[in-house]
Amino acid sequence: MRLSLEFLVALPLVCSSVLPATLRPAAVAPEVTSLISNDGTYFLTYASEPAVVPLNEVFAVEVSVFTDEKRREPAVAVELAFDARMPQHGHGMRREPRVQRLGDGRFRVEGVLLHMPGYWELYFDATRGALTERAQDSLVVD
Amino acid sequence: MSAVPFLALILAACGATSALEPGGEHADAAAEELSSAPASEPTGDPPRAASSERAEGSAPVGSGERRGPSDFSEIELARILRHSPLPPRPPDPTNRWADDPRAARLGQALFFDARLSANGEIACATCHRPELDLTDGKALFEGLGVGERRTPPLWNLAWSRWLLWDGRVDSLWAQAVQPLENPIEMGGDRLAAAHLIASDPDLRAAYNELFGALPDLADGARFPEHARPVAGRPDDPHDVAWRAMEAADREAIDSLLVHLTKSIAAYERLLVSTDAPFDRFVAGLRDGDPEKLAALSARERRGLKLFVGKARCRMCHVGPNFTDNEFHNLSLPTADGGLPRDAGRYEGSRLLRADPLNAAGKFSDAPKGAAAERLGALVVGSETWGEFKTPSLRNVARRGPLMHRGQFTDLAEVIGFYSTLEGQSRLHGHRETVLVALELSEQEQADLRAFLGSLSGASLPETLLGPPTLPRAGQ
Repeated sequence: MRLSLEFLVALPLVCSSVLPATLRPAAVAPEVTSLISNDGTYFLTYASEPAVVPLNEVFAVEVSVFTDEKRREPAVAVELAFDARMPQHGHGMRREPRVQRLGDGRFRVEGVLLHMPGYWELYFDATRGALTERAQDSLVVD
Repeated sequence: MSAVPFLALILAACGATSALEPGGEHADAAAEELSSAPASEPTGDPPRAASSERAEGSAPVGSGERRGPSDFSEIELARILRHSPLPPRPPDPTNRWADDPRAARLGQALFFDARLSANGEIACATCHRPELDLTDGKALFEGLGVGERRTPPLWNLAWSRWLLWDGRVDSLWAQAVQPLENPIEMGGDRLAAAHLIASDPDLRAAYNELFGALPDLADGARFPEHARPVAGRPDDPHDVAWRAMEAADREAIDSLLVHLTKSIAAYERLLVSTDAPFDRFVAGLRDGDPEKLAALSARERRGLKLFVGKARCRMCHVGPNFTDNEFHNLSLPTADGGLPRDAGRYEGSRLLRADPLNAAGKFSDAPKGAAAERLGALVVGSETWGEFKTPSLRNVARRGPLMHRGQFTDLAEVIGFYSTLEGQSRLHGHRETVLVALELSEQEQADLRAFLGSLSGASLPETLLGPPTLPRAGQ
């Protein structure tokens, strides 16, 4: 998900008939990205569905939150909030995604829409009690 | 596998650029055609990214070399391919008659029927004139009065998730109610429309075939000649008459009205523009057909290169319909040079949520469907103040004035504004902060205009451009 060259999605239109199946974009394995919250309390992984983030089309993000660096101990007591913004534009998404708690520190974020091409920042806010820690990542949607 | 070499591998494997490479028969012609092109411009001005991969991705991939003075980099090619072809028309589950040809025919009849207006002289087609590319050629729409926005184009609206400049409706069928009952547009009302259908044997027969029997409107006390809800104006005679009706009768009339506008929507879904020279060019990129690749002139190709690069048009005009279907504040000049007063999307979002005809309402045929979910997730905030919908650029060269208030006469003025931002209105809220003067040369502006002209598609069949012949009643 870190590198979002969205045109990879379009390429099957170009050449699906001539490429061997192993070379088609569908063969790209979902990429799991690891993050650490800014105060070092939480260790996250996330992956988008589809693996290549589409431009201006709704997609989902699966997030897991752990309390250890090896990511074996799920952070069972945290809540998660998700947001995405374009700092260079001064705005964020026009659609509020819905975060579903799956249990064992796992969350599914539905309804993410990055409507413009360009640089986006993703924010994962893990909250326990009154304490919120942010982990963030960035990607370019083209 | 790294995405960048993967892309290069795909492009190499499928030969997507082979027709542009030196050595082929067409390549010679293309090289000759392009020989007068100026030195290549930077690919664009993509934003920096935090990830190291982005830095690689922002440059042409593969060999990193251009194939000709005005040829396209692989990044540019990938972007271009995403603008064509137009995908199949998406279904509209909120309108169960959306793709019923009988509904489209009834809707077409209504679209051209001026009897729906208060003075009997204004139809949908009065402002959406077929001979003027389904607009009226005016800066501000003129119906019974003069509006504050331009008549929006109707092309390819079946692909839109929000309608009108401020997105205050989320379906074509809800949109059609707006001009019908707006006192400065057609000034009609739903009771008058119902009586029209009941009194016209052909319309009535077409209605009955699709929607069942009309309610019996003969009792004038229950169904007055004119009535409609008028928000915030309880003294309006139409609103007084509307509120005097029984709830069940009001609901019957609302259903009838929605049947009519769902029919109009079915017709408007047929107003599709594709097969422009640009589409043929992109098809040529895919299959290497020299004839298709010749669909764009050298100037148009240079304009296309600007479109996906330096001019940054695709920041908002993305995808095969050349719109992101969202809203932006471009700080366009105001009529009097003062602060903008039109709240645009900020007000439109509020109206949409309150509209009983929205996708989640009881008149929607999918009140829990994707459109309703989209409505529920809509972000409404002050940053949307003064934003207006990105229009499709399909056929844009065939119409004018342009922009939501008709601020500019033609494409030359629009491109001139983006090039200098001269006359930009003062900051009054959020705007696109990446909006900077493009400083395009005269030639670049002409090239961009030429490319936008290549987005004009074939005309619609004549059968769609006038009132249809409805089956005669009783036949």
